[in-house]
Amino acid sequence: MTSDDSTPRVLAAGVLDGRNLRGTGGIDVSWTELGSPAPGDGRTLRTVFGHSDTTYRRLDRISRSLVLAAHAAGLGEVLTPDELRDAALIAETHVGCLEIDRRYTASLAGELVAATIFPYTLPTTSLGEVALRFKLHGPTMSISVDDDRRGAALREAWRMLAAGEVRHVVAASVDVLDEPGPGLPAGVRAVVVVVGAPEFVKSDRAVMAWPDAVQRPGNDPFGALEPPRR
Amino acid sequence: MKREVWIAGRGAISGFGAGHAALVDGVFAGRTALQPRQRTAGFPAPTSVAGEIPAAAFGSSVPETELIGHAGAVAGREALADAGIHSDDIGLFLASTKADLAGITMAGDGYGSPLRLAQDVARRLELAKVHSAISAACASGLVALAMAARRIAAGELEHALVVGVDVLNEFILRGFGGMHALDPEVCRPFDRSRRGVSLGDGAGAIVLTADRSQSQGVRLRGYGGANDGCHVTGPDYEGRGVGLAAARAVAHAGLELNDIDVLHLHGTGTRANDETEAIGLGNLFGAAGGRTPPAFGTKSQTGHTLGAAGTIEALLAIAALERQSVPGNVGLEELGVDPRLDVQREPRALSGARRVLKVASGFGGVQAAAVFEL
Repeated sequence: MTSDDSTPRVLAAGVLDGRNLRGTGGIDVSWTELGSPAPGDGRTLRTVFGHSDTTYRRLDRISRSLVLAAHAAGLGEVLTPDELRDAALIAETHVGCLEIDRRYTASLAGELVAATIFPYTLPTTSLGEVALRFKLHGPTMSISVDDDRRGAALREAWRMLAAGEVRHVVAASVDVLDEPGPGLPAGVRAVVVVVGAPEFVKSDRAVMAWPDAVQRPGNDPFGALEPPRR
Repeated sequence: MKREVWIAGRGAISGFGAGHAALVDGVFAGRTALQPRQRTAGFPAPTSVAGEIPAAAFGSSVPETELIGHAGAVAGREALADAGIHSDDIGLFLASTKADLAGITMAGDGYGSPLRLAQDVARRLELAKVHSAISAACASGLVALAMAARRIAAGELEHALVVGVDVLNEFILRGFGGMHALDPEVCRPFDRSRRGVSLGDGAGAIVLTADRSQSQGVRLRGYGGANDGCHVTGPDYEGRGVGLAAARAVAHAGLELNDIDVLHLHGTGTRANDETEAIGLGNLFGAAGGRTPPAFGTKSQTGHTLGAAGTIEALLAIAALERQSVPGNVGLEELGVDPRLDVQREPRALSGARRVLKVASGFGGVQAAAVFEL
């Protein structure tokens, strides 16, 4: 793939990291201001966005990070209901669900396993939490990536848009880990980006440029799409 | 640029043993690989059976921590040899649900990373490159096939090896058991008295190519995906997700619904999956008051092989076209789902069938479908 007229339009971006939650939807708030460490607690959605839902407070930290970043991007406002319905959802992750895997594995020592968190050992379950909240009914997948070769979700989004399979993609990069692992640093970061095919999205709707770094796997193109901090 | 995508090679390892032929012959003979648990017998789970790869197929020298990488390599090696494509000229797309968990559940290096498993399988096969490693729950295999096909169709790649693989362990068995999703005995998809799923080991491998002259006469003509968008572990009660994925795959193939001759179903044996799959596909194909094309599921024979199910069952779907035969649904005694889904207990002969639609579903509401054409 090379940069040309087919490069997708970036319609929105939201990021949740260890310092704050911010996005092109207009939110920019630090965890210090919110009084809880990233990715917040069961009240954070209500506190920041003025609404919540019946299951938000029981979400795992990976799902919570993705849902908050999607709200910070303004996902529910930037696409129409029909556009949301058909949008693909593609995430990439390096550490996957290791945090949940460890919690669930610890329960194997007992007679009863932690069955309620077992589904969250799969990365698509967190994507399902995003999908059901934003009524996304498009193709869904999680791509496993090396920490130093990011951007696979954006490249796949571009391929799907260029092939005409979908008109919009919600692409994400998510790595949430409480305790470090072998070569895996602890941390919290979720970036959610909404992109559209140029045939269907006018250029004046773009909030930032498609990053050249998408074509250079050694870089982190999601970093180039993070809205600036205050 | 949109090029055609063809099947050039096939490989498998399953409860029927090593080899694509063992898998296909076993299923089309109506046998089941679901047997009393042996390798996994020490793990407490509320089922007596699993579709474990026979120890003889693995060989005695493979340690538990390397079973999954070994299984992926066995299937991949067979597919490469079948295609006659040198490993220097091809890269890997790998699909798995939980990949290698050895570093979490025992003394090993894996931490549930599909990419790490892909690198392991690629090293064993001396492949030129890992293109992508995917986890899309139990639809992983079909999603990986679509990803590879997308790049071939766009002219990015000439060939691709797609391997779906998962091997049972305590983590998986007890997880499904804790969710009360396991049938205590051999599962009975679509039957009125079905009680849950039976699990299995497996790896299915498919070589895709843009070069028709290198193909085996079977084309991956279209693919599509969807999300239920309603619940992360339970399906949409109207089966809208599976219907949407199927409709998108047929449209992507440039076909109409009445062009589809056979369906290969996800058919796990859980009450919710089978019921909603029948409703969703019944609504899609039966909109004019009719029924679906002849349909079959094979998880009562292979077990649910999770991340491998998409590729293993794609192999079986293709075999239905090549053999012009729909296997009987093993374990089905009395239909317990929407009767518009045309599943039957006995095998049926086909005549002139050219296109099969394969569907798959997974946690997170993931739905995937693909159309293969003879």
